[in-house]
Amino acid sequence: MNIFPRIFLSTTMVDYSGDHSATITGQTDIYISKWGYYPLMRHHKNYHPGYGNPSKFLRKNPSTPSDFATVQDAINDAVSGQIVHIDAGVPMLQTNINIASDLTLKIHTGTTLNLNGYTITKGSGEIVLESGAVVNPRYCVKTGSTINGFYPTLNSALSNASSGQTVEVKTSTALTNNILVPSGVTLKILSGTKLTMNSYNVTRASGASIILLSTRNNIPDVRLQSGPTVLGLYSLISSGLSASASGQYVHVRGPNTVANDLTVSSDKNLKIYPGATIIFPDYKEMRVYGTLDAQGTSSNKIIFTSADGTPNNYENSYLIRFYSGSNGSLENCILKNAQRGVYLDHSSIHIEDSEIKRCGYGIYNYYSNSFCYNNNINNNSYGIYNYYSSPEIDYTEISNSSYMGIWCDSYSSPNLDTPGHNYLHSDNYVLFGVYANNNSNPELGIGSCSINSGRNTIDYDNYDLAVVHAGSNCNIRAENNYWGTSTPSPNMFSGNVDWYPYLTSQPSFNIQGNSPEVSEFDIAFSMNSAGNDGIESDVLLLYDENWKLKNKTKFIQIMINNDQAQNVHKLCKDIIRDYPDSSEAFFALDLLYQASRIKTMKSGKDIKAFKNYLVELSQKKDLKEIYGSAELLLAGLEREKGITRIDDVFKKYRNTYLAETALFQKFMHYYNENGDDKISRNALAELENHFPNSEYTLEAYHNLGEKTDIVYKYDITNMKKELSGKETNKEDLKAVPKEYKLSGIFPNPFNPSTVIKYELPFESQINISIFNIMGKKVKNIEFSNQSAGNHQIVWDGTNNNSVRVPSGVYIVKFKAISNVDDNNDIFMKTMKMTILK
Amino acid sequence: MNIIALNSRGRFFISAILFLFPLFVFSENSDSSIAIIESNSNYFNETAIIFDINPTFLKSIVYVERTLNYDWSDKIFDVFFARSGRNSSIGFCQVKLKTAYWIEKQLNDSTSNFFPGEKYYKKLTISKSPQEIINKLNNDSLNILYAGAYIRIIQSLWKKSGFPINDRVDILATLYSTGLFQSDGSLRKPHKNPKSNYFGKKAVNCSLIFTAK
Repeated sequence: MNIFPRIFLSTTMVDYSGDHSATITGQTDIYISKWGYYPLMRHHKNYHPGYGNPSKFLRKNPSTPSDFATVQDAINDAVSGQIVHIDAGVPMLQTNINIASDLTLKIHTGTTLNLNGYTITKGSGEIVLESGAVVNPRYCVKTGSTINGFYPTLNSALSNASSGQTVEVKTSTALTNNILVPSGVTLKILSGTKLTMNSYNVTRASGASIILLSTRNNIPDVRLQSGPTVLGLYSLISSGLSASASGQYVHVRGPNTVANDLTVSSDKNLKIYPGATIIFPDYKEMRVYGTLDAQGTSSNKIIFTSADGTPNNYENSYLIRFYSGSNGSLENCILKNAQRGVYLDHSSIHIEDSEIKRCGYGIYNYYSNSFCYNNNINNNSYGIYNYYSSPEIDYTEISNSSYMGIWCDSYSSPNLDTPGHNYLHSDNYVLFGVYANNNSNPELGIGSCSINSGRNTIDYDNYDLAVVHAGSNCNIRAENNYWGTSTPSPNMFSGNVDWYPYLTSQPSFNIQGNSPEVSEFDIAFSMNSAGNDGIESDVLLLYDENWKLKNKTKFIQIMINNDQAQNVHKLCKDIIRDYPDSSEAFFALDLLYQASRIKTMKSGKDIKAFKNYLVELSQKKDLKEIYGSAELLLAGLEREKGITRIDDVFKKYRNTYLAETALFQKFMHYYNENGDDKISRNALAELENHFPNSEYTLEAYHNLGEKTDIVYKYDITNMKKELSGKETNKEDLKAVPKEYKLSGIFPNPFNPSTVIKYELPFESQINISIFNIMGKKVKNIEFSNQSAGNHQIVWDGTNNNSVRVPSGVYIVKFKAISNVDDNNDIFMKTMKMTILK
Repeated sequence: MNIIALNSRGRFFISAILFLFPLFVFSENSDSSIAIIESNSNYFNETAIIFDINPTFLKSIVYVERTLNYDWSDKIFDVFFARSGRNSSIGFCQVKLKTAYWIEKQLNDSTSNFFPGEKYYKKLTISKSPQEIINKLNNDSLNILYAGAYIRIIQSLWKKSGFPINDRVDILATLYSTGLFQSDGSLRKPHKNPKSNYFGKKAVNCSLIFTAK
């Protein structure tokens, strides 16, 4: 390549085929000495080897090739009809150039013309820029394909462009001021070019256009668009959003986009592209009331992170908050290093194929029913936190949560069933794998094992309190899951957890394809891709009033899962009416809430009817817990208006667990909806005053992110004591069974131990005898005075001499005699169980 | 609040060491299962004749299915699930609703790769609705016929591929439990060195029980 410029004149365009570099090199020494500092400038006249017919060339000095020292010299020397060629080297302008009448300036491939702060304008002449030729910088004004001029700055190019003209930019540029593209002018950013916005914006006047052909991202790359039409380029996402109007989108690309306090209002739309990194400085967050589409790809994810990269960064309470009415989705994103990764408040957005890590709360659902599909949620304190929320969670790995994998409170019933296939595990100690409290009924697997339900792996080698915990008035269906061991121990579960049947080997995490066996049926009978086009309405006829309550609620659950929510209302209400003291009544109320939400999404009507039903329950004169619980639910749905109700429940149910629940609900309301730190702390103080050291108080502290208190409060040893004490209190408050019942034996078959559960309506004398198949008694357990309530014993498969009995079938004979005066109830029941080898 | 150290363990590594086919704990007493199967022995024998399969193998596979792979306490929900459009296993041999339809189609389509042979052509008619399939599967004798037909399809497919398994109850039982297709929809291709799963191994032991009777 030539390092010296070469400028010459011709009368016609020249054919440059052929290598003439040797000629130029050979003349270099001569012209360096002649022109001093200036490099070789040649002015061809009559002869120049390699350039075709010599007669076409002009000649300045007959004894030398007719090159010029500067472009200006060549222009000045040329006469009408001639062409000034710049065909090698890096010439530098020394003055502004105007191509006068009938002259042509041609800049050839391989040449770099340095404007040096000057301009070239074509006047009435012509400028030709060959492909591969460089003008530096290149701010080119054009009319169609005709070059009108080159300018040293973007500003000067735009100010010299007139309507109908285009300013082409092929020089990456750092803006020093706001740019307004004049009316009728098109600003075109060419391939390989980027703008560094600094703190400036590029906007357009009416009738102007901005076209971005570049594959490189501006810094930052924030574009306001209406469809494909670019309306402006901004240095801040918030600036783009402020400028956007209805139907317009702000598009964000590229790395290192700083999100200062950012609100996507209800009429605004923000789209983030694969590979973008959104950085949140301390105390900054993104609040979404409108639409946020953040869709990366598996190989090019979108990253949201706090600026300093500190795990669980307290200075970043939230990364993204979705509010009521928000739309969009997070797909192939990574969210990390904040108190809350994704926070949802009355929202139901989709989170898919994403990773959420190193946060206090990976996903925080507050009155939200989000969709969580194929995510990896790891190394958070809480994987997924649910308050009055029932998200759908499938194919998601929740690992290494330091406190709990999934926390559910107050009518929070996440669905991890069908397709399920979640993987919950931890290399470290967790308090709970899945924790449910206060009328929450997580669905971890439901149905018979003949269908592909559940199939989650919930494998916590190191759990501190329970793998799955069902607290007060909670029913957890957890059938068809793998528990990390071929025979799960009852000790892994606390409360009402139905974990039988279970899988004895780990299910695959592969997202299920459709086998021909399934697809042929689906095609023939017009099923959807999930193989389910809804239940037939007459299936209600299968419902049997004589079923036990557990099967009734199971039936209702399945109905809701199969698009029959509208048909379960009466069934739920019947259970609540007939069994108001049963934990299944709370379950039925939660199911009715779920069904009402679904119907509301479809018709917009039903939540109103549900609220009326809650009003009806809350006005009952009996102070039953189910009615108080309904009133709290109503208060939650009423939001700000509900605070008075919460106070009422606290007063009415002062001696029950509902009082504590009410105060926590009040705290959560103020914390999540009011945003006033002082009011939230007052609510915490009230809660702590009445219930010091309770788990709700711990949760409130935790929500506030109180470092010192949390270290103290989350002393695991203390928490264990508190929880065990609290559970005892709760049991005392639980409804007393109406009748004697040998509830069941789980697991069965078993090895090495099983749990025998029974219910006592009165204080009773208990005798449990276990016989082998030959009728010989092998074990006898007696309690002379056991209180009314739900009880269970664990049989470890040993006889009265503490020797393990052989495998095989055994009969349990349960006998209860009431100790209550004037009541001679005797209850006897036998059940079969099998010890496995 | 403390955050535990990062661990980069990925799900794909874990997936690679998983068993593909989860098994359920059994819930039907083995003696009961044997008695129920023997009481329906005539259906098994008739099915075996129709589809040229070993009746003892068929009994063994159904026995293992009933004792290892199903919770009979949930029987009331099987039809309910099926009516809801889900691929529920139904009836005596726990034949899946959609697999039953697929079996019908293969017996009626001589161009299918899974067509087991002219001798079995139209031994089962194609149902016109899911309810019709449910009704058929609720009939014990028909249910056994579907199970037998599935075994026949498996045997024919492997024989056509040059790897006959007519005398391999362990492999037949394995394929009966896993199905012919993988979870991604691809065929479990016949090959010369098939391995049995737990279900298949149990079937070998069970076949001894039924052979002795």
